Amino acid sequence: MRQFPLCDMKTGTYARVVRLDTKGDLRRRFMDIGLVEGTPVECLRKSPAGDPKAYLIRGAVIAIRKEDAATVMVEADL
Amino acid sequence: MTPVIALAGNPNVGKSTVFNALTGLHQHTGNWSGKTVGTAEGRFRRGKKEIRLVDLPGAYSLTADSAEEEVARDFLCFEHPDAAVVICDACCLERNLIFAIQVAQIIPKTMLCVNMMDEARHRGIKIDLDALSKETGIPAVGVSAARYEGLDELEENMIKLVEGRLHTVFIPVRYPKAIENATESLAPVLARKYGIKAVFPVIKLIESEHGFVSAFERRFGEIASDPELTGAIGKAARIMRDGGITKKNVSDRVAACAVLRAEEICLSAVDASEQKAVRRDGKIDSVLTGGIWGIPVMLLLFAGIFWITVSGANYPSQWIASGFAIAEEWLCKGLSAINAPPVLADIIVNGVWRVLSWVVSVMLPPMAIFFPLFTLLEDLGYLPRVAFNLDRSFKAAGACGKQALTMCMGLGCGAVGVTGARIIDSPRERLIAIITNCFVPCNGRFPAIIAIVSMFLTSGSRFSSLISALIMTGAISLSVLMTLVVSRILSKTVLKGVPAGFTLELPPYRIPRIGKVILRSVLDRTLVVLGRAVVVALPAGIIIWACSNINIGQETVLKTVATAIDPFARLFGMDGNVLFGFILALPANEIALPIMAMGYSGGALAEISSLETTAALFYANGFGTVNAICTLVFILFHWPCATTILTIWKETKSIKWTVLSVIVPLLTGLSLCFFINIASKLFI
Repeated sequence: MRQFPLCDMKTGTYARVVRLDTKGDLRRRFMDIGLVEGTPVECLRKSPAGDPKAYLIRGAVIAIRKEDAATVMVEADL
Repeated sequence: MTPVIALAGNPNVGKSTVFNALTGLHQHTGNWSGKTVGTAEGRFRRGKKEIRLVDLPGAYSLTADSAEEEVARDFLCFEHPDAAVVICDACCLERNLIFAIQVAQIIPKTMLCVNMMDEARHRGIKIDLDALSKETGIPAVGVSAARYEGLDELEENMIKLVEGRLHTVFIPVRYPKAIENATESLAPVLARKYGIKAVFPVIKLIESEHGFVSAFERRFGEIASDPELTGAIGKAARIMRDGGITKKNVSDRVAACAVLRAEEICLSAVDASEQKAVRRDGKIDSVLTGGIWGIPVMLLLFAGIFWITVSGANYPSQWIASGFAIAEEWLCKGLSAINAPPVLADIIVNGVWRVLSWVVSVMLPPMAIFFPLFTLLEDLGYLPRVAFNLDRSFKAAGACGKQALTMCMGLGCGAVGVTGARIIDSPRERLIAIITNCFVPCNGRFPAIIAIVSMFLTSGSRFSSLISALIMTGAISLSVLMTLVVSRILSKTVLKGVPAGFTLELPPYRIPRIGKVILRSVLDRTLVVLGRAVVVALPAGIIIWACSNINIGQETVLKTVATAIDPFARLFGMDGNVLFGFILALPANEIALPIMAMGYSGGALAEISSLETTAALFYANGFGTVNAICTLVFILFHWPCATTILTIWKETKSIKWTVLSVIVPLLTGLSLCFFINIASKLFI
């Protein structure tokens, strides 16, 4: 298992959240949409400019900007 | 007392659709988060029983990160509705349940209404409503509100719910022992003194979460003034701390418990093993938001819509205009038959009637074509993709990607766009969105742009509607570009700051219900435009008539003012008459062009209802191509209409930001026009 920030996920790969380093309102927002420790995430695609990326989180497709996704640590088998 | 039921739920789960279906009211609906801001109220009757329904804005949680979530939270926590129905999207039940759990903790009589069951079935998601009800302890009803399926059962159950004839014993979320003990110690005080019985507010008070505490104090006065409450909160916080949970991490722990509970419930109630839709949406998205095709397809889509609008609006415009001309003859005959005084007849025919006829024949057909098409895109779920595509640019401008959504709202009406900016959580970015909102042309200005383009820039050409569509696309692109430029300037100067984090939900694509879309956009939008036209035409017609018929010295008011401001206006590639038209059209942009036409014709307004004659009139007064371009740019960027200015003041509660919202677009427009004018003098 390797740990890395959510924003580094490649399109079409899966990972699991290990830790949220997010601060303030966004941390609460992530929790609201169910992005907590242990949540499985799939990186679906990136926008034309490469940022933000769209992730499948608990059945919903959510776009998150690079620097926001950088605060979420995920792990995956490589 | 009529029992009150609150309709709550995540954004974009079809709350408004359910609300409309139950009450017969017509809240505008669309496939994206944040369509409903503020609450809507309605009633429905079943036999002798009546229910008052309150449609709350969509919320992801009751912790209230945004202004609209605050509305939902305050209503649920403090207004004591008799019952709540949480609408859930069947395709995304797990995420929806996180919120439902929070509501059920506040309102004892809570029911789940799982919407879009048809779509879930279609997507291969199986939902076991009995298991859902058993796992949560509260009733669950499945509906497909857009097809009016299951609504009868829903109504029936809502009546039973308020009457207490349904089994609603919400199975509580299990929290860590320290949190449970702390809430148990504080809850009795809150219940006895403030009538608050729910777990959620208790936790928020222990946590001393800022937003909740201030909402609580707004209602009940300062917490510090009640020693018993202060003591009880302190004691509860101590119990928690002794159990190893601090004020800092309590909200994380509480949120995580709800998320895990939702996951657990879905394990037995949802079978999504055969789900296929995410893949299908993926294929569409790889074109619509792809690296190569995303932006070109977006531009093509808009150009296509403009092309259909421009080429389709031409004939109906002519028909309506000739209809008005015939009716005008009758009106004249009628007025002379009743021996109306000549001045009055003049005001009615040359003022009110002609303005009305111009506004309706020129404004209505493009709107009646554009809005259904735009609504189709909206229903499809395309607008959030626009936000997704453009977000990188908004980030560079220091703004929020959701601003693309408020701009789309502004395309309908500036005031709606300003109110809609509530979907943006960060106050700084919300202000940027509000100040730049009038950069996108609204209902009132959009057809005026089409009129200018087809009168002066493309007339006579073989492919005129195609070229018009391209110019329109260019105009909208200029709007977007200037929005970005000015947003960046704002975030480097008066609204300094770094972009705040946010999440943007991309809803599944949904096949629009075409018949319904057309019907609704015609009824809701087009008739509203028509109604507004009639309302503004009356006073506007009188004022315009007065300006062009009352004299100051030798000349009319209109001529005097127009002459006075003429040198100033010419700096910006317009003339006094055009600028005065913009000034007089402050109450409603729809009337800007007819005022200008009236000004040119010297008050005795001849047949302004056809575009060709209007164009000829403008040309006769020395109005040329450069004037047309500058006028077009100034239509895009001048100042918001009076209604929008008022809305900005209401939303910001600040004179400073309201004034800035007027000055910023004005300066933008003036600088662009000045530049175009000088450039034309240099190079042509």
